[in-house]
Amino acid sequence: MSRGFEPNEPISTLAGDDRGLSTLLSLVAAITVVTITLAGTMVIVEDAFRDTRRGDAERVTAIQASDRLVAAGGPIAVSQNVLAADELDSLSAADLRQVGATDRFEMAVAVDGDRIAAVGDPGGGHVVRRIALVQSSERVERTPVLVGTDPGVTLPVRTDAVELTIDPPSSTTVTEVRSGDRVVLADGGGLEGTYDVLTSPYRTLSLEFETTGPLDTGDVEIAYQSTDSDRVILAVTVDDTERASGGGASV
Amino acid sequence: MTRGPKRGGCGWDRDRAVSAVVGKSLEAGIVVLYISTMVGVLYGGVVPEYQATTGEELGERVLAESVLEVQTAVPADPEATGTTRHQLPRTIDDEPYRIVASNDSLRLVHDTAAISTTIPLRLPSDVQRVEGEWRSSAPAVVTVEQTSSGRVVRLEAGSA
Repeated sequence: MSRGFEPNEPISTLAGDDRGLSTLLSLVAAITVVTITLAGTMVIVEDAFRDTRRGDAERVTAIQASDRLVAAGGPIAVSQNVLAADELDSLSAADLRQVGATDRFEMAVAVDGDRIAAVGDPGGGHVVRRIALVQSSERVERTPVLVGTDPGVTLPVRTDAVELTIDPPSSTTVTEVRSGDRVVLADGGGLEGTYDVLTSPYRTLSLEFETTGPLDTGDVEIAYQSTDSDRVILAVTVDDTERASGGGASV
Repeated sequence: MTRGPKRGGCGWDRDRAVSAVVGKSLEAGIVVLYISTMVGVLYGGVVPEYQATTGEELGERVLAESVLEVQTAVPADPEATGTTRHQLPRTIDDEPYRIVASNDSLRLVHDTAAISTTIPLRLPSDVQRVEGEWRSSAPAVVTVEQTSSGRVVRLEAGSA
């Protein structure tokens, strides 16, 4: 009786334990797999969230700052997209604050890669680059070569205004000055002194003088503004110091 | 002889039937406990954090779009006026919000402090001031009006 049971009982118990254990094991395995999958998903989601931080605030600040800098009414522009060279040289942090830089949004402006002004020190952030013209203008004075009575002179320049200084010898009276075929100055009693003359910017500057006697070189001096424009790349960097952004280059 | 063990087996069998129920209930209990723990962990910490991050990012984008919209709504010509419609998401992080113009900047006002943010707004120099506010629940327009001292940009509800 008991002999017949004794070998049976442990075996059946063992088999029952084994079965219970195997279900438990598969349960543990299932839970582990689910947990690992969940953890993996969370890592992926975390990565995705990091990628979505693209710094819209600094992007929009950089866009509007570059817009304002090249706008006609802006601190350094003479007309839309044309910058004044001397204003550009004296671009200050106050100008940058006027176009949107704050303590939070650090800003730097570079021309052809050289930083010319900055608020703070943006080490990264969003860069907006745009092509602009830089206009430099300087006063040029010329003393044209004049020979004889009714002389004329042609200068290889186009400009909309010249300053004419007429200082004729006492024996000569200058009665009329023409530019092209247009009379720009006329005085039967004699022209003498400094005059502002409007000329055509669309044709080469030429001046003809009507005189009663001979003029000599040095009796007439011409001064005008010579403008020169260079194409540059204006880069505006804005770094949002309050929120982390997706890196990026600075200039 | 054969009856004895059968009887004993009969009692054991009854016990075994109960053990299956106990075992299954235990497994079910473990699964329920696991799921509830995971739900607790996810909704207790992870999901709200994701919602907050999404809300912050969405808030920044909405405000940035609004700044660009106000920028483009103001024509370069100082004589020009106009009205431009703007689209706003109804809610951010399940809450309505406002976009307020003040002190040369646009500010997003939201119940969650982390979503509230400010972006400076710079308009052409002839624009005197920017005023008004948008509510996310109402249609939004930006109007540019001429006054004696210059142009005024106004954020308001309405249709264009």
